[in-house]
Amino acid sequence: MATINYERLQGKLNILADAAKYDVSCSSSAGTRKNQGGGLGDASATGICHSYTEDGRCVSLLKILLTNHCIYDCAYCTSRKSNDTPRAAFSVEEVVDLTMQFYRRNYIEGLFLSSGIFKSGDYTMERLVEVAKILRTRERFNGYIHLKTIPGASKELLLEAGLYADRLSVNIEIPTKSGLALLAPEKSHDELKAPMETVKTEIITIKESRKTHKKAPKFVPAGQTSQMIVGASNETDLQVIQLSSHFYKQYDLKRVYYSGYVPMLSDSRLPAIGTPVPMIRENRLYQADWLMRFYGFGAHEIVEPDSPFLDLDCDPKLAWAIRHREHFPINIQTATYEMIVRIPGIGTKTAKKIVKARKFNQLTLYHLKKMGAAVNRAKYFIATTGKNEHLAHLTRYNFRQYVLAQTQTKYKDQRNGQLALF
Amino acid sequence: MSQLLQSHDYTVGHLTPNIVLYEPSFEGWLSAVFYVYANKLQNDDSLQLIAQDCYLPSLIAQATSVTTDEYNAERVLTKLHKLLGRSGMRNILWGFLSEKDNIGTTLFQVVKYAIDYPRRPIMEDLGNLNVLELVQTVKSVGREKHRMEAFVRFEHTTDDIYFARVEPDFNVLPLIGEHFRQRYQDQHWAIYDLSRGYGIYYDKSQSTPSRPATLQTITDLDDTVLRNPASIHSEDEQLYQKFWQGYFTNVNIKERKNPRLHKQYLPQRYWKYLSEKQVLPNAEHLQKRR
Repeated sequence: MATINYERLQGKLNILADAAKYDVSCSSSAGTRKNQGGGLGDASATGICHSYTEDGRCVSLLKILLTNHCIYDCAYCTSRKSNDTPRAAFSVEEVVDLTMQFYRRNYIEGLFLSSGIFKSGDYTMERLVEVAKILRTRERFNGYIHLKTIPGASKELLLEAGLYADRLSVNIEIPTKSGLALLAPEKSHDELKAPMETVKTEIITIKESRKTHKKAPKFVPAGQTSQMIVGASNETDLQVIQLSSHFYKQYDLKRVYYSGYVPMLSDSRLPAIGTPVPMIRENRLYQADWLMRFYGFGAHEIVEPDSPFLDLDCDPKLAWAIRHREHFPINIQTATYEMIVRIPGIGTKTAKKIVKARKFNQLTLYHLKKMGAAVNRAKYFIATTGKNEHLAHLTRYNFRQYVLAQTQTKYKDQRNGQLALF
Repeated sequence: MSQLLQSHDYTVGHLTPNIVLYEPSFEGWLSAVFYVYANKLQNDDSLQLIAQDCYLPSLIAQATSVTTDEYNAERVLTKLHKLLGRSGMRNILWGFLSEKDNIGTTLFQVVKYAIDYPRRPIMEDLGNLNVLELVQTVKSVGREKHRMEAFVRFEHTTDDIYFARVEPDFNVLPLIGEHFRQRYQDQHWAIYDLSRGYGIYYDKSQSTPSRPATLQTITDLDDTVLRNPASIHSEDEQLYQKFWQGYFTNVNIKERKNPRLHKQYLPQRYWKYLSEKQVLPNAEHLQKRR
């Protein structure tokens, strides 16, 4: 076994944690890997955030790069070849050791391992697979493992990775082909999508064989995900959401993550250093994403071609309701569940409660509030058996301004500097 | 107090509110419930069930101490199980572990409600203030349980035990043991609640390949060690704490700093025992070095 140089490990860890911090996924959920007796760890369905960074993000996995050496020169990436940044590389044993030792101390749920590309895609991917393999077989580790698949890695390596990892992901990087061509001329969307296709096909194949052969191996039980950077090139929200929708349908992705671009490199192709991180835009994209995955909205309903950006002043469901007042008011006593979840301020949990509770009772705004609805928004859109005087406003010519003026809360604080960007 | 001074119509020979004191354990409380019914006190509106160690003696109240009786406790438990089912009993137990001052009484009122209306799914009646109080308490306890599963920090000691100190608001050790027992099967570990003076201990040598060891209760640990666990740290412990601190500092994106959100997710009262929070912001080992 290779020995570990502990003196140098701290410095490497600091470099390679910093280099991995723009990878967004922190999820350790949806895996069900039981401790088969005597081993270390298990992955439960819900996952646990063990800590939170000062920017308020969940820390549930040891999220690191194997190396930040890279043969590519993507403009948006701090690890790009031409960037003057301290470089480091872990050995396979060092990553295994840190994962085990952090897990033993209850710091983490598992490992998220990505990498810059040294030598070639295969050379790099081989090492990522080696880490996962040692953790599972020699160390009997049952915690969560998320591996990033490296562009250009061979199909055989992807298939092997999927046997040890709970989740695989490929970054799509930049949402538009033109943006990617500008910022990462060595990469293309087609090349990035190829591993997704491989993984998707294998998930389906193994699922089928598990129906007849119970002992067939598990393959990426927590599925695959992707992420893209927004605000580095001039893509519209319409393009972003259409692309996500395509991924969900075409590759059965579990999640698409969005990462508001943090300017840290001086490059004429990129927003200048000091440009605020588009945090509200990022938040709106996640809300839109939720509407597609849990609320039955189609991409075409969320952003419409004549106005291809999400409304920064209000969430996309409220924006949709304001644009489509012809569907309202919705009668909560009789409407279908699918329509009730479209009422601004009512989430899926509350909608389910409403459908149950209305069998026993005529529901009022008071009931909705008790069930957890944001009545300050919902009240403009619902009909109840009693009189709802707020409905009078639904036909106002300045309805949007009126509703926003009455419901603004969360984002009017420290982050208002951001709006200047758009 | 003002509640006690209000005039009530008490039955003769019963001029003062009834206070039943129980030994501070679940069996103690069950025994008190048995006592109340055995002495037909259940319909007294002023009745209170209070844990002995929470009780402040008062001149006008009349308090009776009930000793724990395992047989009686078992009888009450069986009856409650029948009435409330598994999930109802879970609510009662989790509520009890909140150790709130008035929880003994609240729980009793819920139990009485169940006994008075045996056919009603009383846990769903959130219009009943006692049930509502219980359900909200259970929610708080559940949140604390989840946070303890997240924020326990084991420290490796010279005798190869991974040892963690905690001070949860509620008494959640009985609820988190199973989570850690499933997860940490191949190491000795212990979690010690400093404010309550007891802990749980997993001895891996007692485990078999098919079954993890049973948890043991530990008490009366050496106070000087508890105050200064660094004295029993293994050779490597400081090293990995520093690695973790370096990691924690370097995954932060400074441009997105949001202290309010940070404190909302990671309440300050837990920081004391989080290894990543025990470090100066400019410490040498946090720097990126080659």
